[in-house]
Amino acid sequence: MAMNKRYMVTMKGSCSCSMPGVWCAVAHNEGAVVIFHSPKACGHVSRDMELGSHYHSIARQRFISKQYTAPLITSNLQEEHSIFGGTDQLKQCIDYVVERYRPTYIMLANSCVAGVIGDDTQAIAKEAEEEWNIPVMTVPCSGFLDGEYYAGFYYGAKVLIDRFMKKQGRLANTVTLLGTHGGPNGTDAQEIQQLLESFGLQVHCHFPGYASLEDICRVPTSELCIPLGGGRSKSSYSMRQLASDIQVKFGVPFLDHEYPVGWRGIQSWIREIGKSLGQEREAELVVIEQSARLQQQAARCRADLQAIKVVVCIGRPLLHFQPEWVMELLDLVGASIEGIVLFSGLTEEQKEAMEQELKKHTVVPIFEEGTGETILEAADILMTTHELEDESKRQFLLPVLPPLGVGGLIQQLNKLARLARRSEGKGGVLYGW
Amino acid sequence: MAGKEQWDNVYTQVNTCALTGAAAFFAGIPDAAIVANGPLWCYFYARKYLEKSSPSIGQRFFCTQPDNNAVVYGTEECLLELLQSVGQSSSPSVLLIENSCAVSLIGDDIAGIAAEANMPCPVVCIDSGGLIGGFWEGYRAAAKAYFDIMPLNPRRMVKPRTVNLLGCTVGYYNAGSDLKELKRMLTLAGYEILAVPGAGSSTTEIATMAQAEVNLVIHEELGGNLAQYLQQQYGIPYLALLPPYGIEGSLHWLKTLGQTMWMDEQSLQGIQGEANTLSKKLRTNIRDIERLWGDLQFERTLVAAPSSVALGLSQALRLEWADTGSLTVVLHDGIPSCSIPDGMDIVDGQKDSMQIEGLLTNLAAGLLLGSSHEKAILQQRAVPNVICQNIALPVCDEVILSDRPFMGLRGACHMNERLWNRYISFCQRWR
Repeated sequence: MAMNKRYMVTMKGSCSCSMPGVWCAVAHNEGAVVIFHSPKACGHVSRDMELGSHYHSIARQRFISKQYTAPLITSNLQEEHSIFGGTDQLKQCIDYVVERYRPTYIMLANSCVAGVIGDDTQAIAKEAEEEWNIPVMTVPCSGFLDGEYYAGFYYGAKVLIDRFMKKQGRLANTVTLLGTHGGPNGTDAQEIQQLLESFGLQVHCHFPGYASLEDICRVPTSELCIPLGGGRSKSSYSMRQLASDIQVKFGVPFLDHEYPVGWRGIQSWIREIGKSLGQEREAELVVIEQSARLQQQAARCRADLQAIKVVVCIGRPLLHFQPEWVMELLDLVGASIEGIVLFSGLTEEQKEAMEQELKKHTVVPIFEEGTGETILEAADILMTTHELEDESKRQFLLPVLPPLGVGGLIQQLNKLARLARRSEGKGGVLYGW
Repeated sequence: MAGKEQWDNVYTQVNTCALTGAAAFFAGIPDAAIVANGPLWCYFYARKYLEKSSPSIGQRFFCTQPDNNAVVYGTEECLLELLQSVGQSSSPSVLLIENSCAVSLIGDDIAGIAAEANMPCPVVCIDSGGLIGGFWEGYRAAAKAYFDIMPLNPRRMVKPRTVNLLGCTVGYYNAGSDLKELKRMLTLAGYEILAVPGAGSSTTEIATMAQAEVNLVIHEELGGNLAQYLQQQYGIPYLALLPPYGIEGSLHWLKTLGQTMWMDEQSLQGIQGEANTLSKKLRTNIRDIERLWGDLQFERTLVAAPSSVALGLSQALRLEWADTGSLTVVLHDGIPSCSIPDGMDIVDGQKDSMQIEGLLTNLAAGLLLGSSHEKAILQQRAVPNVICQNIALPVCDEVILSDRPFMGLRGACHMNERLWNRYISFCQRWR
């Protein structure tokens, strides 16, 4: 079986931009306006991302109309500004935005162009703030140059913390969820919320996104902060950093623990919450309840999956994909893993790191792409990070963001079972999100 | 308001980056390869945009992935490395190297680096990031740069009844089917199409363009400048018309072309015959459906698309397909230089964001021909009872897999079908 893959690019460095991260941090915050100090096209790219999220939520019946969306303005840098600088342009843009949109606050994001030109956006932000008497904040990133998406998201949130939050008394049994992950109506937030309710905790704030100024000010009153962010990715790191910042400033503790991915991860996370609240007994009850929930679904899926031969194909480096939950999921339903193939798009260092990680969780043989074709032929299902062009086999495309909680695992099991039930001879791809 | 310039909410506007527009032109040349000299983010965006219409684009579209050091030291190292790899793995007939914004500011001698790589084909080098503009600016720049580097065979002998089609692109919605229909109609009317640069013709076919009698501009916002340039360089006359939509619109388009090229009326016999048959079929079926469901009429209609598409389709809609009520046309690429047909209010899609928002908010019980972008705004504002039909990118909520054009005679049937079926579904929606 040929291993031509769609979308496989060997990533040498950054693959995203900080500006959309800044946008996402405040996109649905009442009263916010975002200005990209950039050519106009950068705004369109972020708008396209937002469009994708919009239809994604509609497709999953999670869409809510009339939600606030921050105006996204670009300063419209052009070639002339690369010679003479763009600070005047930016200042005029801010003046216009204040008069026209009457924002509560403005968030400035810098493009790579602004970074190369060397515009002092911080100084302009300060000048504008003094003139208009509204907060005008900026972040220390420039497009793809000083960090990627999550750097923009993190710094966007950080400036909100530094600017608006004040130390206050604690509200008992309240939690702030840190991170966006599909918003308050997304499955991740809903899953966490349900788990927390088992401990008598109530999510009273989502930060930084979907937060009004009132919500932002409420964060320091939380009893606990919980970062959303999968595995050991940059997303997870940046949310934990944010949580740490809040703890340092306001004394709000956060759950400094691995995200609830995979059954072992979920149990550990639940127990850690119990321990931090002094509710260890309740935590064990929650674990039992979640175990039953998972086992019930696994039993339903086992009939379809236990005789299935699976090959796992990996083309994402460890930073972007942790394989433990996949091994665990397949083990749960008794599926047989015939082997693991590491795609050639990974560098040698990336392959070695992934191999070492895999060996912690499985003794299944690991193949390079060149030698893995035989086991692909024998597989019933390929669980893969990258689509293979040849769709004669059934392919399950592993999600970039790992599934959260038992709800996430159940969703993966159901999809996998559905793929296994496909008519014999019918291949194709099923997306795991 | 402060200053003369207006800064509009990008949220209400449709555009992409010049990097995408330039890549789109070369993506439409099957034996061309493209190198984006810039970050992966910009490359991924452009590639995703082009992939639906050019599924194999990933095999000839590459990215240098410069890091922060490149801003200081230049992109020579990563560009050379990639060019060597491209040279080994493929044999393009022409290569585009397009610089993203930040890279274009560095000042690398890209042509010099390409020469050092000793590529086996001509190399076109342009700065094509957002500093240049959006999709249309990028396409135009790439087209001009192509013809600067790849001269045409001299215009020694003009082949009678031949045309080139300019301004076509894989980067417009349903462009492949529309182009097929244009070619079909032109062939039926006795013309031969020599080349369609940027939309399917190879470098060899493009090289023969100067033999054509006329350059026919399909999308003026993309091909108008190129037509003028080719007239200056090679003496090829050109004709720029709104694209043909509707049955009468298509016949008018062909007649205008025929008059320009001194074709006799007999040449349109075949197409006129087809038009007559289709008209009868449409009339019979639509009258039947009208007796049951009423007529297709709207208090308010909004059409939003690139200017040539929006204006051409609006004409057909207003004159042939529906009672549009007040008709407003939002031009995604801004106000064009061509004349605007009567009977419609025009809005600059690159400005006027508050007006666009207002128009969408007040479109209840109206008709929208646009993209998923405008539709998303309707959904976000919970504007009720709007019948929507996609005619432009971006499209997130529909798929067209078969050959069903919007343009031409077959397009007239297809569009009537879509409009009526949407209307009927709307009438039947479960309350």
